[in-house]
Amino acid sequence: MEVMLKNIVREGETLVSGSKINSIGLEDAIKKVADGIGWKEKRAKKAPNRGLGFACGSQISGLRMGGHFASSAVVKIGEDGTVNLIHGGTELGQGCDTVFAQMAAEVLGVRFEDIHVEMEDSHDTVLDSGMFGDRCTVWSGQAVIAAAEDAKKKLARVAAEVLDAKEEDLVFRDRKIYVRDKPDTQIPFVRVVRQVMYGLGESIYGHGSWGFPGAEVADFTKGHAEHFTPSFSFVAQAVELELDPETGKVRLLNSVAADDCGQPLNPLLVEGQMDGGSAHMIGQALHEISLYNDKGQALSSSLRDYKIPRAVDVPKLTNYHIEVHDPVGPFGAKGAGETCTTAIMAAIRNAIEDAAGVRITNPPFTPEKVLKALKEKKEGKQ
Amino acid sequence: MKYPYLRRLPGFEYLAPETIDEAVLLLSRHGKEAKPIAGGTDILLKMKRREVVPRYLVGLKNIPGLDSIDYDDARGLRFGPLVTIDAMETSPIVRENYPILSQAASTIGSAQIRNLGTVIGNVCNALPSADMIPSLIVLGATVRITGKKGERHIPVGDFFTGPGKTILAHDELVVEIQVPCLPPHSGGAYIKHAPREAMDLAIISVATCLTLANGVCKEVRICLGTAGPIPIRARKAEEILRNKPLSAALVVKASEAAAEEAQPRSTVRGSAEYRKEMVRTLTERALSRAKEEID
Repeated sequence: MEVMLKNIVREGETLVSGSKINSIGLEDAIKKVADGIGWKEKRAKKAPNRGLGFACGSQISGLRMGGHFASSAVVKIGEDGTVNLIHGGTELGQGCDTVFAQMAAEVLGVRFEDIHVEMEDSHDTVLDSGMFGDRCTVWSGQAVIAAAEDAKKKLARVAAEVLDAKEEDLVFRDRKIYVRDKPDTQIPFVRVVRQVMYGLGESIYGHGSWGFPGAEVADFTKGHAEHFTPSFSFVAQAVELELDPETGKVRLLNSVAADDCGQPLNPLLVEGQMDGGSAHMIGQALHEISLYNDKGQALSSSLRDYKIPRAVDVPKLTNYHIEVHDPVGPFGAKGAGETCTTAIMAAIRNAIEDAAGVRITNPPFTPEKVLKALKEKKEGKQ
Repeated sequence: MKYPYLRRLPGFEYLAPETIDEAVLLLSRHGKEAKPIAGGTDILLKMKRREVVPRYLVGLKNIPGLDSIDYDDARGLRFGPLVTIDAMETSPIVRENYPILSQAASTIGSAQIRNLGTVIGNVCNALPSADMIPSLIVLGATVRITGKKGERHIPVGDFFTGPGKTILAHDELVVEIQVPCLPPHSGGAYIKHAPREAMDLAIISVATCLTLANGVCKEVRICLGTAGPIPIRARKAEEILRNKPLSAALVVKASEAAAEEAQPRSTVRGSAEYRKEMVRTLTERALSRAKEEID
């Protein structure tokens, strides 16, 4: 742990690739996790066949890979003051529809439930390179904010006239528009919407597009990619496990993790990512493998033999969020999903080494593989 | 066939006899085109995969009395083909008199599968990895079979002829399993070794049943699951222990003998060498656990 704390990157540092770290909460994350799992006490009093493992991970928040890379969003405001949001981020269960509705509601000063997020499809949805590499919250999120700001500008112009104020002095909150420092000089949001539609005969659309400003395409020949990602998210995680030295079977007992995903815009969703990412990688670490015979036929072609963890195989998961305000991310947020998968496999591997003194590097760490390593150690091969 | 798991069930007719005689009659009338069904957790999957395509399924659910579990001190335990795995796991009679059966039942599949699947179905499906079979064998259980030609009683250990194969003729039904009373100072244990804690197939499983008299092994049975084409008795290992004082050294020796007797295959779930080694480890553990149960 001390070695890790000495070696982690710090805010403002530039990596060998040229990318910059503009926010990092990893030091706090490591300390929080060490406390949470009882690192010092348990290391001092080691129980037989028990192992503790610690690991950190990080992931970019999206990147420029060549080809189209920007995100976009469209906001349509209805005459009842509700908002339709179309984004290209792609909801695949991670919760971006929820977070983008929060963002649009925050910018326009309306309720969360006033935002209707349209279902994405490749025909009607705006251009966006999609959901991968922890880019969705940051890239598509910034596009959603830009789209909402665009619509807000049109409303502000009209509201400023009605309230006899400057556009930049207007505050959008609680479905009202009011003058800063003069909350009584106000008008309901929906009245301004109707003023635009009925009074001027115009429609209110906002369009937003975002690509990380100045992002370069990575130069793979030189391993250089200055500025290719807006931010890095981090995670620290520790696991405790029990290893049966006669069968090689590993049983996870406990996991404590702390993520730095910038400002968590929806802590429950980040926690879901952390739980899901951990369970997913427990499968990779202990069970999941695609096997083929010499004819190329898949041998683990069903979920009977491609073993994903069941609920009882996942230990108690404790998660902490380290709140860091990222200067680039939307409302200070960074990517969360993939980040949350990066540490636990290494933590499990380290815990196996701690429990039995064997260094295995080719997951899944099946009972047979672990037992083989234990034997090799006994025979002095390791 | 390319996507066996995505295919629907083939068409079939469901027949619902109300007595065993009627069921046997239907099975014999339709010959190999008919199959009996109880919980359906195995046969419906086989039908989806087109491994069997019966035109008639003879359902046992309308036959009264087949779901009962009875016990008396003279005849032991008797249960019918509609006794679910869950019923076997949770039955107070079983828990008190044959905890090994309850324990074995608890290792099968998920709660949903245990609610539907039956113990006799698990036996008749005859997989080398079936979790109920090794325990029934070490308890000396027999199957009562009814067919057109009458009834026969066969020890569970003699019931299997190969993976998925039994001595049962197509017009015969297993109508009951009988488990004799255990002598005093007896104990059993079933250990299943699988990578996951639930919903998994055994890499190796071992069942043991011991009867001790003043520390001497009066009777011992050891059965190995997934260690060969059918569940196999480790008779040489038993011989090492029989009528000898049960010492730790002897247990180690017997476990090594059991590993010698095992004839496992190498598959994606484990190599033959690893399985043999697990037979040794688990036999040792199952013998100590059976002894603990007596103590």
